[in-house]
Amino acid sequence: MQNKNVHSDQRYVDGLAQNDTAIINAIYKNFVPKVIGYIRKNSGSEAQAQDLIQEVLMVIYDQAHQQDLKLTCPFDAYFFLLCKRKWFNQLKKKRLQKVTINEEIVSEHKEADQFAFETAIFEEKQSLFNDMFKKLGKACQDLLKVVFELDDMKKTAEKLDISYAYARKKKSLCIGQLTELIQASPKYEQLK
Amino acid sequence: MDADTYLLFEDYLDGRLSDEEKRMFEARLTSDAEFQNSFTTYKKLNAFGKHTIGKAKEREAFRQNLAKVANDYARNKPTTISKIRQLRPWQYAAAATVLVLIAISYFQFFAIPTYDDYREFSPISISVRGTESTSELLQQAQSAYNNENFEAAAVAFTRLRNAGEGSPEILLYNAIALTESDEEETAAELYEELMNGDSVYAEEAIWYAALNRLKQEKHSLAKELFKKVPSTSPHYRKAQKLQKKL
Repeated sequence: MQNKNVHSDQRYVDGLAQNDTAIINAIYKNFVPKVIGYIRKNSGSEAQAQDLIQEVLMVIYDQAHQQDLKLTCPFDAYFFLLCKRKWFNQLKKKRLQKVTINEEIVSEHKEADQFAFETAIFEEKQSLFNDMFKKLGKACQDLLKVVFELDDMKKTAEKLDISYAYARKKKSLCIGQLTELIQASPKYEQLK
Repeated sequence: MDADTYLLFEDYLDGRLSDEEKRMFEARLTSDAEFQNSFTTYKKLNAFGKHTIGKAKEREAFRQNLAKVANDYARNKPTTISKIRQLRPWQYAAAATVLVLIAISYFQFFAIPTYDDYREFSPISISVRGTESTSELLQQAQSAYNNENFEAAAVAFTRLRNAGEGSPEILLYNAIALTESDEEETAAELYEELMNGDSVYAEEAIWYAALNRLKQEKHSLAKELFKKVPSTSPHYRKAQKLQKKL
């Protein structure tokens, strides 16, 4: 998908990544009412819709920072689909099985489907990474916190009073351990 | 994968491999699925850590900004009027009454709550089996607190804790005194310490930590904390109401 022409709506993704208030306002003005309307029509309240929208925008922000997210479809279709999927999953989790969503969770935009799918997988992975990070030993957690906070291995080595080579080795071992914890989790297979 | 392979991943990502080593690494990525899977996860974890840990402050600023825009949006949402028709005088009177009632309930139910609406104050009396000097400090802290001289109370409580009297009770009142004297960030650290502990004050600390964030108008942080107030707490109902309003 990276080879295709980037859509002009990429400005919304970039704006979110840069915490640009004008863009966030524009998203609320242009795209949020439709999502709130949809959720209210499908057994939800405005407050539930508001929370869900904030979670979705947070995921787009995270994905834009960690991956090269380049939209080739309209933001409206992508965002609406993401919110719909998330709402559908929340209803499923609450076992509100009597509730039926009147339409299929697909969009007329095939590309939007693909982007929304990738973002949903990204979100699941983030939650898996978070869970597994907490399972790491305390020494590794502490080391990785310093490594990422300082983002400089020389400074990390100085702060921890260890050699530069040893700091790099420890970092690679700790991320290696985390890699193995993740690969061993049942959820990993589904997300691959 | 073994330790050397993980270090190799690190070397590749840091651009420390020679052209030949890099070529071999990339060839292995295409031929060895296990190697490729591990490397992909390793690389994603690196990006995850750099962003969620390394850029935690920026991420929090974004979250706050988002909450603010959402709040503004919810308050200023445009309403649509579909039809205009002439009203009779009694209808005006009825409409005016309804409007007044709506306005009252709006302010009661939907206005953004503030710290001052919920701050409660009751005098305290703590006893410790300390030395003479700590007992004196405790007296000072307590009387300053009970006279609502919170800055002095915060100073005395902090000195008391530095002198080794760090009971959870003292920690809690020190934190409340800090909240009251506009030292919310320092207070937040103390509440955090209490919440992570297993003392009887851990539950109480959640409520006060939430009020502390409310005072700072950090509404999403406050909301999350209000949600955590357990149903066994005397503040549970207030906390539920507040988190819904936020």
